[in-house]
Amino acid sequence: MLDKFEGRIIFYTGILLSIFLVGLIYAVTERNVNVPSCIPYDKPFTQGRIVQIDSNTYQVFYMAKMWAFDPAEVRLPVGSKVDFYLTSGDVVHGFMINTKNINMAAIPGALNKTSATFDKPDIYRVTCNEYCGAGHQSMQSEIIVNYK
Amino acid sequence: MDNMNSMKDASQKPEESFKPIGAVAFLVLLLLMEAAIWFTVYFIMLNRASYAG
Repeated sequence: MLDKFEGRIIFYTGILLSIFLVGLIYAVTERNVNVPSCIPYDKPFTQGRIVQIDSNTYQVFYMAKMWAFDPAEVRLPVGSKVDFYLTSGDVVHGFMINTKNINMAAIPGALNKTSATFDKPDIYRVTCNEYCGAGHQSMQSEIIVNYK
Repeated sequence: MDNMNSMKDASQKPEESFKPIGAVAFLVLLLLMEAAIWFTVYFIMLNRASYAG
Protein backbone atom coordinates (compact mmCIF):
# COMPACT_ATOMS: atom_id res chain seq x y z
CA MET A 1 0.00 0.00 0.00
CA LEU A 2 1.38 3.36 -1.05
CA ASP A 3 2.03 5.79 1.76
CA LYS A 4 -0.26 8.84 1.72
CA PHE A 5 2.59 11.37 1.64
CA GLU A 6 4.57 9.36 -0.92
CA GLY A 7 1.50 9.35 -3.17
CA ARG A 8 1.12 13.12 -2.89
CA ILE A 9 4.76 13.75 -3.81
CA ILE A 10 4.50 11.43 -6.84
CA PHE A 11 1.30 13.27 -7.87
CA TYR A 12 2.86 16.77 -7.63
CA THR A 13 6.04 15.60 -9.40
CA GLY A 14 3.87 14.16 -12.17
CA ILE A 15 2.03 17.48 -12.57
CA LEU A 16 5.36 19.38 -12.78
CA LEU A 17 6.75 16.96 -15.40
CA SER A 18 3.51 17.32 -17.41
CA ILE A 19 3.90 21.13 -17.35
CA PHE A 20 7.50 20.75 -18.62
CA LEU A 21 6.35 18.42 -21.40
CA VAL A 22 3.56 20.77 -22.51
CA GLY A 23 6.11 23.64 -22.47
CA LEU A 24 8.44 21.72 -24.78
CA ILE A 25 5.64 20.78 -27.18
CA TYR A 26 4.53 24.44 -27.27
CA ALA A 27 8.12 25.62 -27.97
CA VAL A 28 8.58 23.22 -30.88
CA THR A 29 5.13 23.58 -32.47
CA GLU A 30 4.15 27.23 -31.83
CA ARG A 31 7.49 29.02 -31.43
CA ASN A 32 9.53 27.14 -34.06
CA VAL A 33 12.36 26.16 -31.75
CA ASN A 34 14.70 24.12 -33.90
CA VAL A 35 16.00 20.73 -32.94
CA PRO A 36 19.21 19.56 -34.68
CA SER A 37 18.75 16.58 -36.97
CA CYS A 38 21.14 13.89 -38.14
CA ILE A 39 21.46 13.18 -41.86
CA PRO A 40 22.32 9.48 -41.78
CA TYR A 41 22.85 8.52 -45.43
CA ASP A 42 24.88 11.45 -46.79
CA LYS A 43 28.62 11.11 -47.20
CA PRO A 44 30.29 13.75 -44.98
CA PHE A 45 32.16 16.52 -46.84
CA THR A 46 35.88 17.10 -46.33
CA GLN A 47 36.07 20.92 -46.61
CA GLY A 48 33.96 23.74 -45.29
CA ARG A 49 32.11 26.00 -47.72
CA ILE A 50 29.34 28.58 -48.04
CA VAL A 51 26.65 28.17 -50.66
CA GLN A 52 24.20 30.96 -51.50
CA ILE A 53 20.84 29.56 -52.55
CA ASP A 54 19.05 32.88 -53.19
CA SER A 55 19.27 36.50 -51.99
CA ASN A 56 18.86 35.66 -48.29
CA THR A 57 19.12 31.87 -48.07
CA TYR A 58 22.44 30.18 -47.43
CA GLN A 59 23.91 26.79 -46.68
CA VAL A 60 27.04 26.75 -44.56
CA PHE A 61 29.04 23.51 -44.42
CA TYR A 62 31.27 23.52 -41.33
CA MET A 63 34.22 21.18 -40.97
CA ALA A 64 35.47 21.00 -37.38
CA LYS A 65 39.06 19.87 -37.03
CA MET A 66 41.66 20.22 -34.27
CA TRP A 67 41.47 23.13 -33.36
CA ALA A 68 39.57 25.33 -35.79
CA PHE A 69 36.35 25.53 -37.78
CA ASP A 70 36.42 25.71 -41.56
CA PRO A 71 35.21 28.28 -42.68
CA ALA A 72 36.80 30.41 -39.94
CA GLU A 73 34.64 33.41 -40.79
CA VAL A 74 31.22 33.68 -42.41
CA ARG A 75 29.76 37.01 -43.57
CA LEU A 76 26.01 37.23 -44.03
CA PRO A 77 23.51 40.02 -44.67
CA VAL A 78 20.85 40.79 -42.06
CA GLY A 79 17.78 38.59 -42.48
CA SER A 80 19.73 35.59 -43.77
CA LYS A 81 18.16 32.19 -43.38
CA VAL A 82 20.92 29.66 -42.94
CA ASP A 83 21.08 25.88 -42.93
CA PHE A 84 24.13 24.69 -41.03
CA TYR A 85 25.69 21.34 -41.89
CA LEU A 86 28.37 20.07 -39.56
CA THR A 87 30.89 17.25 -39.48
CA SER A 88 34.29 16.56 -37.94
CA GLY A 89 37.59 15.52 -39.49
CA ASP A 90 39.09 13.92 -36.41
CA VAL A 91 37.48 13.73 -32.95
CA VAL A 92 34.13 14.82 -31.50
CA HIS A 93 33.82 18.61 -31.27
CA GLY A 94 31.09 20.92 -30.05
CA PHE A 95 29.44 23.64 -32.13
CA MET A 96 27.63 26.39 -30.26
CA ILE A 97 26.56 29.75 -31.65
CA ASN A 98 26.44 32.37 -28.94
CA THR A 99 22.97 33.92 -28.30
CA LYS A 100 21.30 31.49 -30.74
CA ASN A 101 19.51 28.23 -30.02
CA ILE A 102 22.22 26.26 -31.78
CA ASN A 103 24.25 23.61 -30.02
CA MET A 104 25.37 20.59 -32.03
CA ALA A 105 28.00 17.87 -31.90
CA ALA A 106 30.50 17.49 -34.74
CA ILE A 107 31.03 13.77 -35.10
CA PRO A 108 33.55 12.18 -37.48
CA GLY A 109 31.73 10.26 -40.22
CA ALA A 110 28.33 11.79 -39.38
CA LEU A 111 26.48 14.84 -40.66
CA ASN A 112 24.32 17.05 -38.44
CA LYS A 113 22.03 19.84 -39.57
CA THR A 114 20.15 22.75 -38.05
CA SER A 115 18.75 26.10 -39.21
CA ALA A 116 18.66 29.69 -38.00
CA THR A 117 17.60 33.15 -39.13
CA PHE A 118 19.93 36.08 -38.43
CA ASP A 119 17.66 39.12 -38.02
CA LYS A 120 20.01 41.22 -35.89
CA PRO A 121 23.36 42.60 -37.04
CA ASP A 122 26.04 41.25 -34.73
CA ILE A 123 29.21 39.20 -34.50
CA TYR A 124 28.05 35.72 -33.50
CA ARG A 125 30.83 33.72 -31.94
CA VAL A 126 30.98 30.01 -32.71
CA THR A 127 32.75 27.98 -30.04
CA CYS A 128 33.65 24.36 -29.46
CA ASN A 129 32.04 23.27 -26.18
CA GLU A 130 33.27 19.67 -26.18
CA TYR A 131 36.79 19.18 -24.86
CA CYS A 132 38.85 18.08 -27.86
CA GLY A 133 42.50 18.35 -26.84
CA ALA A 134 45.27 20.81 -26.01
CA GLY A 135 44.01 23.65 -28.25
CA HIS A 136 40.32 23.30 -27.40
CA GLN A 137 40.08 26.74 -25.74
CA SER A 138 41.12 28.52 -28.95
CA MET A 139 38.72 26.66 -31.23
CA GLN A 140 36.45 29.50 -32.35
CA SER A 141 34.91 30.95 -35.45
CA GLU A 142 32.78 33.99 -36.27
CA ILE A 143 29.58 34.69 -38.12
CA ILE A 144 29.48 38.38 -39.00
CA VAL A 145 25.97 39.61 -39.77
CA ASN A 146 25.75 43.10 -41.19
CA TYR A 147 23.66 45.24 -43.51
CA LYS A 148 24.47 44.82 -47.18
CA MET B 1 -2.49 -7.82 31.02
CA ASP B 2 -3.79 -4.25 31.10
CA ASN B 3 -0.28 -3.11 31.60
CA MET B 4 0.83 -4.98 28.45
CA ASN B 5 -1.97 -3.46 26.35
CA SER B 6 -1.22 0.03 27.46
CA MET B 7 2.46 -0.50 26.51
CA LYS B 8 1.41 -1.69 23.01
CA ASP B 9 -0.79 1.37 22.51
CA ALA B 10 1.97 3.65 23.58
CA SER B 11 4.39 2.15 21.03
CA GLN B 12 1.86 2.33 18.15
CA LYS B 13 0.48 5.79 18.67
CA PRO B 14 3.50 7.86 17.61
CA GLU B 15 3.79 5.94 14.29
CA GLU B 16 0.13 6.45 13.43
CA SER B 17 0.24 10.19 13.99
CA PHE B 18 3.66 10.73 12.37
CA LYS B 19 3.69 13.25 9.51
CA PRO B 20 6.95 13.69 7.57
CA ILE B 21 6.58 17.47 7.46
CA GLY B 22 10.32 18.08 7.07
CA ALA B 23 10.71 15.63 4.19
CA VAL B 24 7.61 16.99 2.41
CA ALA B 25 8.78 20.60 2.84
CA PHE B 26 12.23 19.68 1.53
CA LEU B 27 10.77 17.90 -1.53
CA VAL B 28 8.45 20.84 -2.25
CA LEU B 29 11.46 23.19 -2.10
CA LEU B 30 13.36 20.88 -4.48
CA LEU B 31 10.43 20.89 -6.92
CA LEU B 32 10.16 24.69 -6.77
CA MET B 33 13.91 25.09 -7.34
CA GLU B 34 13.79 22.62 -10.25
CA ALA B 35 10.89 24.54 -11.81
CA ALA B 36 12.67 27.90 -11.35
CA ILE B 37 15.89 26.66 -13.03
CA TRP B 38 13.97 24.90 -15.80
CA PHE B 39 11.80 27.93 -16.65
CA THR B 40 14.81 30.29 -16.59
CA VAL B 41 16.50 28.24 -19.33
CA TYR B 42 13.16 27.69 -21.11
CA PHE B 43 12.42 31.43 -21.43
CA ILE B 44 15.97 32.13 -22.68
CA MET B 45 15.32 29.50 -25.36
CA LEU B 46 11.94 31.03 -26.31
CA ASN B 47 13.43 34.52 -26.42
CA ARG B 48 16.16 33.37 -28.81
CA ALA B 49 13.64 31.48 -30.92
CA SER B 50 11.55 34.61 -31.39
CA TYR B 51 14.05 35.79 -33.97
CA ALA B 52 15.32 32.40 -35.17
CA GLY B 53 13.58 30.73 -38.05
